[in-house]
Amino acid sequence: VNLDETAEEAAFRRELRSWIESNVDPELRHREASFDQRLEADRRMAAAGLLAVTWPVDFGGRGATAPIAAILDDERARAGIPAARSPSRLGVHLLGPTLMAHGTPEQQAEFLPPILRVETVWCQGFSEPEAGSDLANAQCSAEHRGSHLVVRGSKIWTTQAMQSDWCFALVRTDPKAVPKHRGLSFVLIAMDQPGIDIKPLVQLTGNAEFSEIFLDDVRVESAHVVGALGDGWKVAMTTLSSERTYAQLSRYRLYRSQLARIIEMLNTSARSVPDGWISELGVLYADLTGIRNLSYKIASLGPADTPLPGLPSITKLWWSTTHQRLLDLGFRVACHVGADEDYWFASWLEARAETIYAGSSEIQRNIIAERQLGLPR
Amino acid sequence: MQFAFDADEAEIISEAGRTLRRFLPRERFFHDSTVTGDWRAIASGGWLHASLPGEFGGAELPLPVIAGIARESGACLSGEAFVNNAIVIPKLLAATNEPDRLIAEHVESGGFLLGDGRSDVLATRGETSYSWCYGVEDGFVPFAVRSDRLDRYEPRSVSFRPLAEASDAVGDVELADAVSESFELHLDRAQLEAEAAIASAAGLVGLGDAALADTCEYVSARRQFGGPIGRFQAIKHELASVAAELEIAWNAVLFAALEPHQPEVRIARFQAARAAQRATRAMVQFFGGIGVTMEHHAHLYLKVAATSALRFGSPSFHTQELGRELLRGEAR
Repeated sequence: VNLDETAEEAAFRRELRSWIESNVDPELRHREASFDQRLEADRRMAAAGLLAVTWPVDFGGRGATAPIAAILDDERARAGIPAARSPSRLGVHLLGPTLMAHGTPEQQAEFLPPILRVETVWCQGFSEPEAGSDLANAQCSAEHRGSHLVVRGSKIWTTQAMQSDWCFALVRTDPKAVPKHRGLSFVLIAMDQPGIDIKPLVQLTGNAEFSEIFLDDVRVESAHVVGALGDGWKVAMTTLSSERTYAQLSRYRLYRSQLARIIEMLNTSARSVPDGWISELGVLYADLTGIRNLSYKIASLGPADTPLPGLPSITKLWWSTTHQRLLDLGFRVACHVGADEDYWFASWLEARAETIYAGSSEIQRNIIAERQLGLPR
Repeated sequence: MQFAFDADEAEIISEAGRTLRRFLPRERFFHDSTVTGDWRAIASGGWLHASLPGEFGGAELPLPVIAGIARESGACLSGEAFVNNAIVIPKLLAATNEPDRLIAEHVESGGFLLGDGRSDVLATRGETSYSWCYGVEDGFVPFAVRSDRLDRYEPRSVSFRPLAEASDAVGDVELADAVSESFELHLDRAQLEAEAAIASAAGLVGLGDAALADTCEYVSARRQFGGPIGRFQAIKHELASVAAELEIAWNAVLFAALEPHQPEVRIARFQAARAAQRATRAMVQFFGGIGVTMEHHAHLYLKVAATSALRFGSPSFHTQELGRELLRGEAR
């Protein structure tokens, strides 16, 4: 057990930092960068082979270790182009590993290279109006007609749906299957076809980060079903376990910078700091390091290790609840000192969704209790 | 970077765990128990020397591994006694002019520190009366760290009154005899305090581990309303949160053991104390009526979590300090 970077890791960090400095313009990497600017930053990273470093060499990656991936994540966040805001993240971090595990050689050849070159943008079609936390209850149907499937239904809370070329989705191919997760299939849907209607969802903050997608007789080639028909649940679990563990160091950096802004507000204000807030700052500071430590732990688990079955769920639960408490204090401090209220209010509102997305807190606690603690269902 | 134990380290820790559970069974603190602990067996396994350099017969195990063993000792309700006997006292003795004799004598008897463990940390100014001594067991030798020396007293001179007549190893000590021997000390106290505080935090995590394991077993077996009570979210969600806090706390302890200075020590102590207190509160709550009786051991876990949390500075002291350090721009 040690915290030292190897010579190779330290060299990678050094070279990466100077490469980003000279190859990704500052205008592409700031907090308000547009979708197109963020996409351009991804393309430059991709051209230098820095986007999907953990992908195996056979699939065009570098076969990099988890610590190297953590350094990449850390340096991206430091440079203002965190993986969490990268338009390529759904393809690189979610669909990529899923296709490598479950896709046919033809699917891998068709879809992985364009992801690596940032030629296709992907979105995820899992949640539905009546099936979010209860993903196994997805109702969007797909009828098999030999060479293709016909999809009908809707998907909701889809990130970057408006900009996406493709959508990976869970659809119900067998309405009678018991238990119900057996009737699901994992399909790849081309977004540029008739029958697809995208309605942006304007949130409390005024932004429309998510959309609802309506699918009316949309065609999916049979060759674009990942895994067997009816195996969608198993395939989607690969996707979700990728979603719940990547990019924790960039979260840590982002949240630490928000904590630093709170400290700055308090230090530049003439008003005194209430005692209770001093302790709250200490608690948040401590709890943010928990995100960093989880990231180190995840990066230290070799391919042969079996991690705690609850670790991805603990990670999601920890960053979401800690970040909400951080923004709660940030908003109160902003009101107290009379500065920057808009930023903190919008961030506070936005973070309400963290209880729900990427697997709700209740679902995560069920998973920890049942799979790690062995409690009865 | 390797933020996890390798196979050799894990094997050392699990062997230590087996030894601790065998010779320091937690049952020795249970109501009307006739079971006793055998610290000599722990010593002859080499575990009380384990943190010392080879010249004193130790294995010089690195602090993260010592913390791993301390976690096991916490599960045996012996976290603070382990901190005293496997870390603080051996290292103090190694820093005297007669290390070999004193260490050999120490492993025959075991010991504890005089002085208020909440705030005195290592050094005390007390004379005959001491409150809040941690890890006091029958026959243990009292030690007092003074400004420039280490005083040793006779164990027969100790009169021990457990805190509130209830918590078994923490309480007030009165000494009948004067100091028996006195030794000059040459050591880095801040370093030793940090190591002890980290190991004590590891013990708190182990205490929480054991409380959680017992509670999970109970709520899976106890049936009500047509099935085990552990199927209800009111119970399983709280236990999931306990598991999350213990995971976070252990990671903080491990991080602090690798970087044994501030703010890491404060973070580890705060998070370990919080996790242990939440785990033991859940234990008392979910065991229902029996959990608040003296016959059942849940109350011991709750009390040890409460008292041990206060050693080396209370959780709220540490979070206040962390907050102040942030505002002063001192915390990284």
